[in-house]
Amino acid sequence: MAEVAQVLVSRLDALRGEMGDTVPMAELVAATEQVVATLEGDLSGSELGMRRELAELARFIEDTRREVAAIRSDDIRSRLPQAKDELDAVVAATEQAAGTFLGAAEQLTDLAEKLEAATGDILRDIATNIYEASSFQDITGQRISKVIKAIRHIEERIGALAHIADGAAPPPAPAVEEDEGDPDAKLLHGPQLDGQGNSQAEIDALLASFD
Amino acid sequence: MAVDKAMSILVVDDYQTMIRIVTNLLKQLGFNNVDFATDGSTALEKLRAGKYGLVISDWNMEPMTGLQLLKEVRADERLKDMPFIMVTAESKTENVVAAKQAGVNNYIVKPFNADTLKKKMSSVIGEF
Repeated sequence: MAEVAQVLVSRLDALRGEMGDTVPMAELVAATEQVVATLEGDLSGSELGMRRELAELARFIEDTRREVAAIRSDDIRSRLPQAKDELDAVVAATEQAAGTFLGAAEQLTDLAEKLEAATGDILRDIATNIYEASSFQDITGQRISKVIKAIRHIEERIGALAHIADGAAPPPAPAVEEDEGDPDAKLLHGPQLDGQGNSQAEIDALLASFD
Repeated sequence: MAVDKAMSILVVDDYQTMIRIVTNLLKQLGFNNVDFATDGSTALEKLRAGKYGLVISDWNMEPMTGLQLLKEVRADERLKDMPFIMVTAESKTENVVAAKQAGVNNYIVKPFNADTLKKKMSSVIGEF
């Protein structure tokens, strides 16, 4: 069995020597099938197991290649702007809704000025609650922007994968997004999920530690 | 010294909704002289041209972020002592540290409430 493994390693080394670090999937399948074909004659149990595993591996690689090749990157590219438009529509709708809430709160605030103090204060408190709650629109907008960026990245990588599955050399990996004009661009994370960022109390403590 | 509630406050945020929210909360706190800008560059122009007593700025904006605006303000001889509060969804430690090192006076994480805004403003410009 060690000989079989050595044949497989030698074959893969030869492929790497011919093609460099990136070997098309079809070549991998062919190499695996060639090694499987060498396992003839009286085979021990472990050799039979090895043959089965290699055949399975060859099938898996070929199936994967077919599935990836079937991905139409053009199709994905046409769907992505649509997905972005849908998300933009969500942002516009939440902005409109927040605007309506704020308009109502501003009317309450105006009304509060015309009423006696106790009633006016109640209305002002209600308006304050609406102002505070309306900030959801900012946070959801920022979260959706993060989702759009993630979708764009996925689309690029799927496109690259389909390219490779077609037997072509892989396109260069996208450069890490950095705004050359802003050395602090790496600090732009957007809203964090619960438990990932600092709470206001933690930020207060952090600021106090500088004093 | 008593806080001058007639002072001009510059609110900087790329979301009109947030500008409207902060402006309304400031009015409820008695500050009616509120101006706004939707990015750091415009804010810097306004600060250089006008007279403001406090800046309340978002971080994540283009073309100039709130952090860049803060650094520009601190580097400007006339504006360097301007009270500056960052109001942002950026809540990682590295963000708070960077803002503090750049000279921020206080830091509010979004979403926030009116009480937090009042407390942070009080710590920066004095009790009111």
